[in-house]
Amino acid sequence: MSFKSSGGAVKETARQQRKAWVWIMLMVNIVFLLMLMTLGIIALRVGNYLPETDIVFVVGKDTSVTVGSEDKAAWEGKEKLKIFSTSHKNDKGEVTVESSDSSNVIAPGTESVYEFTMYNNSNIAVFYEVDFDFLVEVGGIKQSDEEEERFPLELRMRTKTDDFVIGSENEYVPIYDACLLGHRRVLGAESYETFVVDLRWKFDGDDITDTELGDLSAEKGVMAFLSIDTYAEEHIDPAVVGGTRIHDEKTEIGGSIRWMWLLLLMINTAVIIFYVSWLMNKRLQKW
Amino acid sequence: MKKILAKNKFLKIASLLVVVFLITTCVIGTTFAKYTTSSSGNDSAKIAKWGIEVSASGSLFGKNYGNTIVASNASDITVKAETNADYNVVAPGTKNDTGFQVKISGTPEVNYEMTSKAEEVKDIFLSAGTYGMMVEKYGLNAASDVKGLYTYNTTSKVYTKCTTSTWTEGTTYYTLQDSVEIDGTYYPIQWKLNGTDYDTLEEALAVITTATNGTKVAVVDSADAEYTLTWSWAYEQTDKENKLDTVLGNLAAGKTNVVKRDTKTSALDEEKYKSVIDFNSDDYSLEVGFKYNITINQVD
Repeated sequence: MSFKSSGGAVKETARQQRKAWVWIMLMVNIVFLLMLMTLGIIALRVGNYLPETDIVFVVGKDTSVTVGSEDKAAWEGKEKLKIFSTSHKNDKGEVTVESSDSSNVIAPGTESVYEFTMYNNSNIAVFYEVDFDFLVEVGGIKQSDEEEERFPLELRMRTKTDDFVIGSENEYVPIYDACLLGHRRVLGAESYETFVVDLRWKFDGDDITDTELGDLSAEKGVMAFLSIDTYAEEHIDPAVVGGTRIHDEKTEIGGSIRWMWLLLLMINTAVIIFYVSWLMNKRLQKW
Repeated sequence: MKKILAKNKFLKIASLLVVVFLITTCVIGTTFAKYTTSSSGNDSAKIAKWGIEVSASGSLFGKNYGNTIVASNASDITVKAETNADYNVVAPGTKNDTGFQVKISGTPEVNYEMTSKAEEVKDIFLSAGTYGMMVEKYGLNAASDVKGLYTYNTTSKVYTKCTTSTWTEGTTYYTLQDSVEIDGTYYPIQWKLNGTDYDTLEEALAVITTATNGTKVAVVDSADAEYTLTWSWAYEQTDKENKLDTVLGNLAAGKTNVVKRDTKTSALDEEKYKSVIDFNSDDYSLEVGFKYNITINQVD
């Protein structure tokens, strides 16, 4: 028996054990990382349902997006607006359309202009979307999409600086088509954007359709319903600009701390991996 | 001893890792939780009412009359158009009590303009003048006094009164019969619109067109209106009117010897007559009828 031969066998076993432990170590690290990510996803799901006032989930952000108009200072829920009117005048100021029962009325030749403003009072930028919804009822019964598609009301939407979001200076879009489009824009921190919605029913449009609607309204009553829906969510980059600033002073952007936290997360993760690997290595060396 | 110390150290490190792990979890939660909000506003409007209806019904004239229009197989027909005639007829003693109705209804919620026109209006009439029948005088000879009779010039188509008594052989002489003079235009048909009498069709239709023309105001001005037009041609009238009706009847029968004094070429002391059919449409008409059109449009 030689010492060389017994020492070689021990070394081989130790090498094989080290190999095994390396693999085990690697798998433990991977499992640990996956566990971290899973917990992160759970936190995301839970975080979306918690109220904004839960300071545990709102760090560095001061969020507030509101919508207001001349007739309604702040929209809350489903607001009743004054988009339409009970009578209309022509270019000469003469009343040419008048409701017989003080309800709002539209007819060929009528136009409406409605303004509303999106206010982002937050210290972070937001994505927001403005959508329209339109439906027609005859005698209280909702009409089909095909009937609504034929309705002669047209719409265009622009900002106060005449940046057209829907349609153009010379073009109105049929109301049905306008409702199919989603209009996504960006509002910077502490900024606002005012929109002007122009509605019209052309006087010299399709006389047959116009007369059909007028006769049907006299017989059964025809109602048109228009809603303006807004949705806002936090922008991935809280410092992006858009709209007009509410104040001239520079705002401290919130949520930018998030990048620091992301970096901290990465560092923590790296540290955890290093520690675990180092510990495992130490254990391996002892064995 | 070393093992215990190592174990404690391991536990401390493990505890530290747990704490760091918890903090990291909060950070992840902070990192991915996002702010969202939504708002909505709505309004509604009714479509302005239109609902104007215009209808015209009834017929004014017919082919067969008892005294009003009756069917072709009625037993009391007194006036009848020719068989297979494509025209209606009127005559003394005929009338229509049900007549022609125009109905307009609706109160729109928009301003609107009504445009009403009566076109191709024709009414039976004879213009002012002296009418009669030229009848050939027979049995004249050299001994006859022809002063006051008429001779006919085939070239000028004029009947001229003889101012001398001398009969000329080969000349045809005529006598003027059933002479009747009217100072103004004679309209034999009496019209009635919603119970009010009018001497001419044009006057009656002017009432309708005047009332149904113009711009109306939404809601305030209702379009509701109804008009009924009837007529009658009296049978028993004055002697003068009966003679005029006979003139019209003879003209309708195509008789060329129905004459009217020609005042355009006659001197004051000279009487010349022409066949009525040689006069133009300003002097007489044997037709009655009209076209009525109404359009109603929204105005801006």
